Amino acid sequence: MSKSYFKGQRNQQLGIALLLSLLLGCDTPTTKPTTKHIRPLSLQKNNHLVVATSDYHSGALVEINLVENKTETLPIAIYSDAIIRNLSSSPYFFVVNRLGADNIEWGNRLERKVLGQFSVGRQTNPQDIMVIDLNRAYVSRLSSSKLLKVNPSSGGVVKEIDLFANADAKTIESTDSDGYPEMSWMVNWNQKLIIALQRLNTDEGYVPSNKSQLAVLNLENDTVEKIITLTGTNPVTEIKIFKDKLSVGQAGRLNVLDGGVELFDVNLKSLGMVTTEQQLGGDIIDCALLNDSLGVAIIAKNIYGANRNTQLVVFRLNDGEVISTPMDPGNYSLHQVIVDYERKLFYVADRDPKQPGIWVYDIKTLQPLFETKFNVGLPPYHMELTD
Amino acid sequence: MLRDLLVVLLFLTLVCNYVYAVNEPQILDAIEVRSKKGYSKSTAISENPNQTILINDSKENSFNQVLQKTTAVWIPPSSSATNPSIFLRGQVGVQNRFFLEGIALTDGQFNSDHVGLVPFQSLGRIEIYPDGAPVGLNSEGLGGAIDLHLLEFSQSSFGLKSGSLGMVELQSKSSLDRGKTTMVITATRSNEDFNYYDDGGTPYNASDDSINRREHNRYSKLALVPKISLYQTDRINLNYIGANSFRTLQVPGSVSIPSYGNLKQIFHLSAFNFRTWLSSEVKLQTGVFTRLNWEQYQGGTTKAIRSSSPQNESFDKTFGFKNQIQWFSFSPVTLEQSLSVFYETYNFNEGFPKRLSLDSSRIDFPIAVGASVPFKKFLLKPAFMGQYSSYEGARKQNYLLGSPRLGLLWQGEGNGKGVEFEVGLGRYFRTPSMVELFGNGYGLVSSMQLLPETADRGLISFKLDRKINSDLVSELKFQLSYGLVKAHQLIVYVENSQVSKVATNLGSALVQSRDLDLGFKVLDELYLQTGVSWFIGENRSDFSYYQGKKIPSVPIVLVKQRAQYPWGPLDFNYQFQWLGERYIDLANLKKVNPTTEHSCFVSWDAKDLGTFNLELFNLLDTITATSVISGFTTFDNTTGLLGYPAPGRRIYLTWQYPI
Repeated sequence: MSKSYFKGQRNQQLGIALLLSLLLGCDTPTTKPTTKHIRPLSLQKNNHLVVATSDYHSGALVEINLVENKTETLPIAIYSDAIIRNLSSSPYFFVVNRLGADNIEWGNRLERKVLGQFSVGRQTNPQDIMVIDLNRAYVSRLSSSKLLKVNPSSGGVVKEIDLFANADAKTIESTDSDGYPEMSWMVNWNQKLIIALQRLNTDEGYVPSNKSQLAVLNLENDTVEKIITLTGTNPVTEIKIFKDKLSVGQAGRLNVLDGGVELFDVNLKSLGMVTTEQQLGGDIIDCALLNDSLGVAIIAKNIYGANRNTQLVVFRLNDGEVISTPMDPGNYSLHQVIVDYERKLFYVADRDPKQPGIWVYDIKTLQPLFETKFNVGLPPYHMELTD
Repeated sequence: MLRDLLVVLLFLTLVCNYVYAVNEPQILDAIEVRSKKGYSKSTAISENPNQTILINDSKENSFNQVLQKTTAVWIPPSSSATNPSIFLRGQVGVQNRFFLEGIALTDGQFNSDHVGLVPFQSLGRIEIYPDGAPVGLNSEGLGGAIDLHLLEFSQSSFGLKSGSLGMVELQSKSSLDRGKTTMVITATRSNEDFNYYDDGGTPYNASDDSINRREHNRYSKLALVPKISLYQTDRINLNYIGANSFRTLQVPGSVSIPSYGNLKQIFHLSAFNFRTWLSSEVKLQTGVFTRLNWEQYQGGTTKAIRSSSPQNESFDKTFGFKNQIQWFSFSPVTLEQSLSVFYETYNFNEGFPKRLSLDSSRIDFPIAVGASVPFKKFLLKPAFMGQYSSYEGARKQNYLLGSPRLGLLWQGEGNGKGVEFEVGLGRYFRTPSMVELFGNGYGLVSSMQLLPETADRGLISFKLDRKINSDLVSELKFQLSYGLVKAHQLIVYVENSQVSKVATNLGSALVQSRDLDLGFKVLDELYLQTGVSWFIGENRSDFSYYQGKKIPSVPIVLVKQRAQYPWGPLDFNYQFQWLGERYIDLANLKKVNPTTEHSCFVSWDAKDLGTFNLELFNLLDTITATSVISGFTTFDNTTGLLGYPAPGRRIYLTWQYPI
């Protein structure tokens, strides 16, 4: 055979190889995140943990079935800065889409369906919603001086409530210098709506002003009964109920150990700081009472440093001292802790950038119940237990 | 994994098979040492294929108009006319590097100004390296490179450009001393505010949608580009080039959080270039340059986020020395060696809140060698660049990195003339820029733990460029290329709050690209060009929630069409761009549906009255696109999503009058 024949054959090979390489490149294998399988939890009240997740660019709503150990991302678009609330004993969920979206989105979790969405005012930065029923809810907004009362099912604003309209002007300063009292977390306690007023000076980078407060709204007539000044400043944690007590974590100035966890009795009388940031060793990010003798907190260390870190610490209620550090991830990832008193467990949202998820801890042993976290896809931002 | 391996094996098979297949000796064409219009010799030796676009300054008036000519480049519809976002072969803008006469204009960085620093009117040609900067530029980078070259002119002229969004520009080109000194001055002011369809922040609820005005886009710019020939003989050339830009501009922030701010910027680049022939076959190019960039950002006060009202200041100073020697004495082998030293200092003050004030410096020693070696019927182009980088100050770190590359070129002869086949393999790297490490004060925050990123690349390209003896078609151009890039420790920008981003090492990523470009000249006058690109970008990040996802902002399919028809003193151009669906977030929860953009350009040579150019961008006035978020298709628009809303139809008229 001639040389040119071989040459032609080789050219054919070249063409085939080129074609193959082009075709092979048409498809690439993909790796999907896997769901961790852990042993089932016992059937109790609060069988679901609903989680708003976010990487600060995208947000998703995830439901964890605590009975079947199933994690499912719901086909519901939420904002990248959002918190989740549920109407107890119902399938209805409410998402507070915060600054940038500034709206409330609600729907039926069982049907995986959004039923409505309404704006609460552009740039008002809604923080929390307290849903009394499908026709009545209250929305706190960081950049507004008034509490919003809405009808979620119709999406209509019922009225704006000035918390300081009937207050004694001599004793209560309605706002700090920026004009807003920075309403944030809320809780419904004995037909009273407790609203945290952070009173931050946003003009100077959200630093706390001279004091922070709790406003107490009578839900029967929408009037403010009283305004309580907190022992510390900057209440950053949710207002959490344990038996007949309320706990409020106060961070004060960031990177300064000037805050603590304050307790209130059933009459909303302050029982003082049950522990301080000095004792905990860092700025408070979140906290909760585990039982009659112990509390748990997430603290931040070196917030502005390269080696900034978060820790999960357990402290005694009688003297505030830390007795255990169940988690020290070495990065700024721990974000929220909530307690499941029925199962005697607590859940910790871990925003570890590489492997985010939700840890389950046993209150009795203060050890993780499982070796792995619940994988919820994007880093968990806010969790709530529901039926 | 197996498929990736197979693809790499096929690359190698192709190379080996073809090397051994051709065993007949052949005579290669001598390497053309081009000097016309200042062509760089490194272009002839470069291990990376490039495309050169010559700018016709009487017919073309903007980067958008010119860069769209090549399939490897695409510009999103939302891009501004004066400082466009540029994507090279599917790579995001931060990976690409921009040069002026071989000197880097910026580091790789977020919101880099790149081509906007140099007025378009001062340019004579643009060299595009879609697959990486050649070692001769002594520049690190994973993505492609664009090297801008200044226009050489001897006719002074005056120009006026005006049009949509309140844009007014005065242009002046001065030629003194028989063209030995030229100066281009442009003064530009534009409002850039535009109307858009706002979803009220509630994509599930169309009842509150409205037409709003997108504000805080205004800018003013004064640019001066001098070029002075200091000494010139047949063998020696010493010249000075400068680029100066003074700008004030508003930074609008996102639609949903109007955290606008005002940025003042002073940019200055001075370079002395010396070229001489040491002998008839050895050429020396050496130069020194200084590059200064001062920026001050003053955040605006908005109702919602007063704390995002910082006053930050940064000052970047870079001093550099470049030296390049090219040997043509070993014909047919050509050698190239280059050595540079870059010293950069970065001062950053976060004025409010007072959290950060730092000084840092770095010094880079890139050394590169390259060759062009005929082998059988091929031209082998081995090259290597090594770089030592040392950071001092706020971060202390040293890196020693290497970039080996191999290019292989086959050019047809005789009946095969006009046929070209090219293969390229190589490893590329980029160290973190100062801005990525320490922040820029208007959106990017400090990330001191950042590591260098690297990428392995492969490219196969086939080109055909033929004159045809036919009454209908007189010219045919065809190009097909396939590129495969696997990046490691890829640096990406991720949101770490509503108003800020941070650079982080994402892990690895795999990007495959295919380009098909077909051009005809019909009836000796009408030129038609069609380009299609496919991209598959897979995120292989260490972040579990990004694994397996597609690389954001890169359309899966891109189609371009262009038609050009000269008719007497008139010249008509039409461009069409179809961008396929693309994700806009790393988590792939937000997807923008396909968009199209039609543009049209008409130039008229009115002889004594000068030349007139009419540019019409986005003819169909597309300001938005439908999107899919978490599987839910929004009713109306992409308000607030990255790059949207886009400015609608824009019309500009330019008049240039020779003096």
